[in-house]
Amino acid sequence: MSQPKKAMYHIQPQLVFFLVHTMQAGIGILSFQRQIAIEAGYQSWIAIIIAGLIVHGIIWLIYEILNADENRNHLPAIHKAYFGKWVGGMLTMVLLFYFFFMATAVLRTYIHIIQLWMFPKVTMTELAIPLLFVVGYAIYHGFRVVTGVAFFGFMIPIWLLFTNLAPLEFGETMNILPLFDTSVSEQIRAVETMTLSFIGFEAILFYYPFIQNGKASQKWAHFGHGVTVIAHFFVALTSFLFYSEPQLKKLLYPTLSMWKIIQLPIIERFEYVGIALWLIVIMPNLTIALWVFSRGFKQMTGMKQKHTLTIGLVLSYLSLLIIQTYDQTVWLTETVAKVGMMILGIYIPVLFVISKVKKKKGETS
Amino acid sequence: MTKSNKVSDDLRRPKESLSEVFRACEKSQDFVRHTLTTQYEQTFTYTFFETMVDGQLFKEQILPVLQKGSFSTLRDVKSLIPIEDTEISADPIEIEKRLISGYIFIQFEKADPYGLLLRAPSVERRAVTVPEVEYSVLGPKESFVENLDVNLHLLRRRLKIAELTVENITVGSLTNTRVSVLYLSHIANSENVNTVLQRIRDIDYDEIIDSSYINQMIEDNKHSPFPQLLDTERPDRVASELSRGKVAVLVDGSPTAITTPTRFIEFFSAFEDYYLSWHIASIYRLIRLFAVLFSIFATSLYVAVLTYHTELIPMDLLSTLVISREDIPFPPIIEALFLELTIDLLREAGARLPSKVGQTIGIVGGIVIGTAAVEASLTSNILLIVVALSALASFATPIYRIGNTIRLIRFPFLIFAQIWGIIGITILSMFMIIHLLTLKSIGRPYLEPIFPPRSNDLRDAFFRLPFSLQFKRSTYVQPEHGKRFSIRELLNKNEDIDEHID
Repeated sequence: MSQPKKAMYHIQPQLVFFLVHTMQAGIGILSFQRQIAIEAGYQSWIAIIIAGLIVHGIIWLIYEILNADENRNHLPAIHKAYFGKWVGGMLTMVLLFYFFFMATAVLRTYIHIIQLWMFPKVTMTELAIPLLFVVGYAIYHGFRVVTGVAFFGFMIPIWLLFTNLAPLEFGETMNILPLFDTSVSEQIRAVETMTLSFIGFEAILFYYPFIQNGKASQKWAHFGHGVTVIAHFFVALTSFLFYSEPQLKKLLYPTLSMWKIIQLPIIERFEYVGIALWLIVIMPNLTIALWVFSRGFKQMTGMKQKHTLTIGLVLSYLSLLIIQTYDQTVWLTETVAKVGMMILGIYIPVLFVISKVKKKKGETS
Repeated sequence: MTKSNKVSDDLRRPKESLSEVFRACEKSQDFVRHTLTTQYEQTFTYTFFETMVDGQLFKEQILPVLQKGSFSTLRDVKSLIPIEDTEISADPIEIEKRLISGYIFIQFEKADPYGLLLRAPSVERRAVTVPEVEYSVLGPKESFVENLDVNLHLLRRRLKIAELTVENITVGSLTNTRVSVLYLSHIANSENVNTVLQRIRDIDYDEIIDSSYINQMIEDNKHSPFPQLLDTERPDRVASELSRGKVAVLVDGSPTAITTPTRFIEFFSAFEDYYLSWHIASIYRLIRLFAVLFSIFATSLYVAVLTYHTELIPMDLLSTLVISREDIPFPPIIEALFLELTIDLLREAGARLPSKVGQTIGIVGGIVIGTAAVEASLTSNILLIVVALSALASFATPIYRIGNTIRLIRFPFLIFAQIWGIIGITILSMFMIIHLLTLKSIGRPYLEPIFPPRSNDLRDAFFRLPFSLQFKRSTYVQPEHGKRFSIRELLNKNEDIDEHID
């Protein structure tokens, strides 16, 4: 009872589970099985497990970096301390725009799916404006509400995972046999592609100070990522059993196509329900990423978060105006993914080493 | 109160002398100011409002004493009159206040600057009746009445401990309404109590007619359609809420009490849930929640599906829908809006009319208009079923206020369904969820125990688990004492099968 005010605005460590998981699960889960199958065929399920383990390691690195110094428990402060105001500021800026473009890419892809499957004539503006408004409304009310969006983004659509059991009726176990008929180079490429589906959790670097007892949240972060890996593994497995390999490689969104097989007494084309509910899945992607953008900008420039949020939303809309075609959308998604790859694979380990060195220096001097 | 710089305080200048008070009162014709000379040649001047004073009490208990006795001081009068609440006062503000609320003022001489105040108010009170809004088959059949003292009595009789604290605040510059804030001092969180007290003290308004005025003035988000404080007419419900560490607000002249902090889920729990066995109560709660979801989404889904996603429905069902709509000249949205508005019109007309006429309205509206509209090919009979069911479902909410909210938010859903189909419904649902996430009731999260998730509070939310499992008070109230009873006995019950026979 000593800090009731603080408790109101901080989130329980368990909720990091939802923040990590919902940031990872998004548009990727609709199409990742095609991409990994292109790289390593139907043996790419191995890559899901390997990539999952690697990301567990990266989560551990992130927590080590954040726990290194209690006074510097978020990325802008860490950058400032390690690299100085200007270089550190530049690095933070890169990360902020990485999150910004991540949100934009997710939004553009989702609008693209709606245009492709439901409303061929709907314009981008018509959907982007209400969606960005809802995102802004959530961020405006602070991180507690953003966490709530992540919570509902997990709880409401989680049952959709079980709809993947329906295609198993027509599954063919021979598809994935023989096991382990693969080469290392294939798997490495598939692991690379797979990691892209797992990016986004590094937002912890920004919201860590909002967690009550941050250290206790580490196991929940690992747990959240674990659930992401299991969900991806499950979806990939059902897709591999259901589709033949050449067919899978031709489908743009295999998960959506798989929903076509579901028949209910009152619903004929289940993928419509799926696409509508997928909005609730991508909502945390958008809110957390744009929250990171607005929060980081506030910390760097000293502007009010209300204003940085408005800037973020307007910029997001403007960049959607530029990305018009499907190829451009794919290009943006891939670029964000490549940057994410570099951040996770190179930058975070480097930062970890620096933080260890600095800590040792601090202890010896 | 005196130091607050509210605008309304400046409107009425406090009267400086007693004669000024009387001059203001004399304009009213129910004001009585007589001088009486007794057999001992002593004079008395008595002053009161005849509409506020119990005339019988005055004639039988006060007048005879005055006529018979011979007094030298007011203190003598005070000791002889068989009324407990008496006071000698010279303060004009005090005397004015007392006169208005049913005191008799007695002086020796008309010009005396002081006198004796005797409490003799006539109290018109309605008998305690059966609750009408929150009726229950089982359980007590008492509901609050307009008289605050009776309501406090009903509550004190249910919570027989000294810790039941009543704090009075007067609000409303014209109505001077007495507002009582109740809480159990050893259980209620003092932060909650202080927030409620502070918000009521901060009210600056001239008329406070009912507790719903207070309700709307102390809500956290005054622009939200969702009620954030629960209002009830059942004293048993208020007593139970108090025992969980909540704060209750009763207003003089209002037969509804407010309790707070409140969670969203509580608006769907009827108090009868506690009188039924826990399985049945839990099922009823789930039915109510399902009814609410149905009520919000049914019509808008109909519009969305028939406007944009006809391929979503299987062939057999689709043919039924198409046949029912084949003669209808309107798009689904016009049809749906027409029917929804008709139903709301019927509800509004039924609510404003006396109950016997109201029944006729139900028959005329429900049967005649409904059938005629279908036969005239203005609406499809399937939509009629859907709209009627969703209207019925919205009436299944036990708290009147939330039922209104649900009927209101159906309309934006209809419009969004027309614009963006089922995507529009999801966008608006997401907006609603975020809106609910932002709400707080006296600073406590509104969506608890869903978010923030707290497993302890789930015991009495979607389900009502048996009393033996309700051993902790809900955490969102932040009670000073969390434990309701000891659970040791429960744990000792793990004996083996047929243990008593060797």
